[in-house]
Amino acid sequence: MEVGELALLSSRIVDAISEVYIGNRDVVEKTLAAALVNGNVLFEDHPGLGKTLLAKAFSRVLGLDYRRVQFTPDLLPADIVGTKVWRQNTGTFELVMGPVFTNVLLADEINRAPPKTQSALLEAMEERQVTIEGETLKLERPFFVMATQNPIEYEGTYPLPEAQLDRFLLRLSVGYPKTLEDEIAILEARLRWKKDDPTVDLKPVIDRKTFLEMQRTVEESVYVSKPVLRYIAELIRNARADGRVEAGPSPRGALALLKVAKTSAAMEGRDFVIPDDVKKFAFEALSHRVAIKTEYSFEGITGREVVEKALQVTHVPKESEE
Amino acid sequence: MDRVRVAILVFLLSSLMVLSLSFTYIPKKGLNLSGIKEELSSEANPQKGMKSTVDVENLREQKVGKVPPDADFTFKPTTEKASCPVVIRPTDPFLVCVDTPAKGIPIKEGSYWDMLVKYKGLYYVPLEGHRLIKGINDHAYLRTDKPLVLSHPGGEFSIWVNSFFPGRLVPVNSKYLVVSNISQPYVMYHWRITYEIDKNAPPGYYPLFFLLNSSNGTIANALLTWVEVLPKAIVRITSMPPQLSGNGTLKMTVSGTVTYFNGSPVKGGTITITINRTKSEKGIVVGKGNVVNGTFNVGCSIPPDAIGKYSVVAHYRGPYAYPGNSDPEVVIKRHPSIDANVTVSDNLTFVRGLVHYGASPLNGSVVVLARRGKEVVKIRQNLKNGTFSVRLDGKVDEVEVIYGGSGFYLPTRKLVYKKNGLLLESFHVNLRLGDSTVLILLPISLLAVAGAGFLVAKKGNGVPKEDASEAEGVNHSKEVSLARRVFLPGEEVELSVPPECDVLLDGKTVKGSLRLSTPGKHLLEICGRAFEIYVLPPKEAITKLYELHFLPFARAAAYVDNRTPYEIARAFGSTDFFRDAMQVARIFTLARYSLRDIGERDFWEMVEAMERMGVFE
Repeated sequence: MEVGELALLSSRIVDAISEVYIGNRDVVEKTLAAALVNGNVLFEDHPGLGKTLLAKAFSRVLGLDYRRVQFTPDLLPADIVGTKVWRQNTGTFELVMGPVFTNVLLADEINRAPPKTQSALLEAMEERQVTIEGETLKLERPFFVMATQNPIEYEGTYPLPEAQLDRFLLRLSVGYPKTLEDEIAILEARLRWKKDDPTVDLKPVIDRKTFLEMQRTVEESVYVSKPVLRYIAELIRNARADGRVEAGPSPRGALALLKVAKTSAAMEGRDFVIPDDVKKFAFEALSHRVAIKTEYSFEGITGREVVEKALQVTHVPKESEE
Repeated sequence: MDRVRVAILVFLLSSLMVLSLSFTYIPKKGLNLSGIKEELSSEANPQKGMKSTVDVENLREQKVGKVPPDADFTFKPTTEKASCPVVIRPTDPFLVCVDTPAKGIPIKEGSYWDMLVKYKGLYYVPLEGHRLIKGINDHAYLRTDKPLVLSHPGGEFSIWVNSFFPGRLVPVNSKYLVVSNISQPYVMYHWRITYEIDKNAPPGYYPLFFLLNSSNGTIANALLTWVEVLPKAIVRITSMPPQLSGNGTLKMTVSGTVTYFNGSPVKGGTITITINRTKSEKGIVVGKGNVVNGTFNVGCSIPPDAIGKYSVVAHYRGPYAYPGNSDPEVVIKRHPSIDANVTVSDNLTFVRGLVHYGASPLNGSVVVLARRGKEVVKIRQNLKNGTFSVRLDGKVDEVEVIYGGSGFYLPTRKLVYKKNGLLLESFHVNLRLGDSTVLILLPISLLAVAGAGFLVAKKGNGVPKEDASEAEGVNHSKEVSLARRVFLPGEEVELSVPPECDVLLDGKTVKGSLRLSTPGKHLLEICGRAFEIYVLPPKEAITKLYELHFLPFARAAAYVDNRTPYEIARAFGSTDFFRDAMQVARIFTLARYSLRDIGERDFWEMVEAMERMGVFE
């Protein structure tokens, strides 16, 4: 597949999703960018902002198999990955696969489950496999998790462990509608749909085979020059060197940024990455990987401020190579 | 969007047939494209009939008429089986089907986009500046650099077509438009297509179709843009003063005629008067007026800093004819100012002064008249950088300074001192004399005309060139600068420097033209000043050009810090430079961050964009 064709299909996918997810095309584009590199996405924001709607719309439009798990405080790891059940009639243990055996796993309100359950997803998210009672099973490609979570101040929530946060390629904040017109457009859309869940009417824009081909195109056809690689590396190091940081972005964060920058280029119809692609995703790919020192977190400093500072001080390569 | 996709297939099958264009008839009424949506629900009254010629004047009546035009053809949405022509509204693309050929959609005054649709066909109107064009091809990744080209019978024009897909671009010939050249695709699938317009082409709007078939056969796009062919206008200035003199803003009236070749008057349009020092420069706008029945009278205001010999150019622009201009010359002379400081003591009198116009010190000579009782002391002195200095023995009663005039500066005189120690004028030194940056009196600046590959030594920098005899004895400031420092291997540079200047490349004397054949860094010495120049293949040359020339230029406008090339370009968003800045960013990013083959044409394209921005000045 040509990069230009990928851009065309991406645009169609975003268009289709934007039919039901109104007023935030940017979030849709970034979610697709993550999906194209099998990246897990964490949607974090207040309730009622369409996080679940967005994840559902994505699953349908991409033509992929998807399952949804509503995370609750009493959810157990086996409820996600599956378990082996003793069948008395055959005298054997039968594997009952959990909802993780799918292409897109929608982990709704992931931080309502205790850490142990949340961690059950770690292996699946990182290695695309699960181990059930000693037996390791590969997950079908593509596989990625779209998780939603409410801010941790909400009652009955457990913060995601840092190791798990690090496995989310992007953390996206959906945000409230930006304008009065957007608010009205949402209301008007509801009148037009005549139903609460408009995603049931969404038709897939592509099929699984095409999606895998798009992923392959991103992987194989987009070139990243040395200056851009260096730019990513310097950006990460500058974020780490910030005095307010307890633990900075990991190398996994750098890899995440590299991957989404490639997707960004491809979605723009370019077969090479430019620094703009890196900047475009820096906040979403890095800020959740930054742990702020306690004294600064009390002052309201977040990972976003650290990444912003790093972007300001990191030199964008524009000079020629001598 | 389904109907859009259906229309693509219809278009792709039928477009070649459709493109055998026949010119239709003169509109009596038209439809404003901005009203298409409203027209969808109304039943209009289609009129039949075709005519093979177009009456331009009648056509223009429609465009500038005060009565809002209405529809003279019907629209209805396309269906799956529709084979009829369609129209897309440029600002809000959607497909409609035209049952009968459009008789005319008048161009809305002041609108850039609305245009005439006169031909039966499937229309696609590009949305310039929007990457994702929704139209008959859903998101068509094809763009042109111009939404509408203006030309004239017998004329030639070029249009750039950009695509996000590789493939084969097929521009389509028509009866009056012949593709004379199509460049090979380069840089982001970028074609330049040159058309020649038949000299017998009737005035009107001609659609241009391009078909792009992707290399893997999966995608095909089509694009339509337009060329407006107008008869040429002949502009003549019949009356204007040959010379103006005085200070401050000067007034003059420029009168003239605008006619077609057959002598008939052009009905309307606007005339812009500029004064240009050379034909190639943009000129200073000094007046604007209207053409009424082929004549114009434009009151012009010449700005205070204009001095010397100028071409007065009357530019015609309007919907009635292809732009034309006329350029007789006017000489503008100015009265210079004399500033002087007179110090009188019992034994000595010092008179020091400056002759200047604005910030420019003048050449020539002054006569200092000092009256001492009945005795008159007369001292003639050549100016040095506009300054003079006279020492007299004893006290004086009165001092007058007389400037004899020079070049475009009129003679002037001024009483600068009277008896009783009354100082009439204090010495206002507005000029930083001795500072090379303001020694604009006959500086020698070396200008590389980048696009042409010439090195030209130019005398004068805002100050009119004066007679050589008068300039004798003047201390020339040799301020040498080199505009472009990056060259392609094999680039031939013609040297045009003053005879007193030596030119050395890597220590070897160069005469005449200079062929820069060896890649690498070189030392070019001109008039004793050394410059590092680079001879590099296109890819490296582009990045060096960006680093050496564009970044300092952008930095001067505070547009750099840690911004990306596109962020820098977007920072020019509110300026006239935006388009060229984006062009520079596009080519630079390709050269710096991609593996694409970069050719000489990309280099020159970047040079031209930077020239337009004034980077090399």
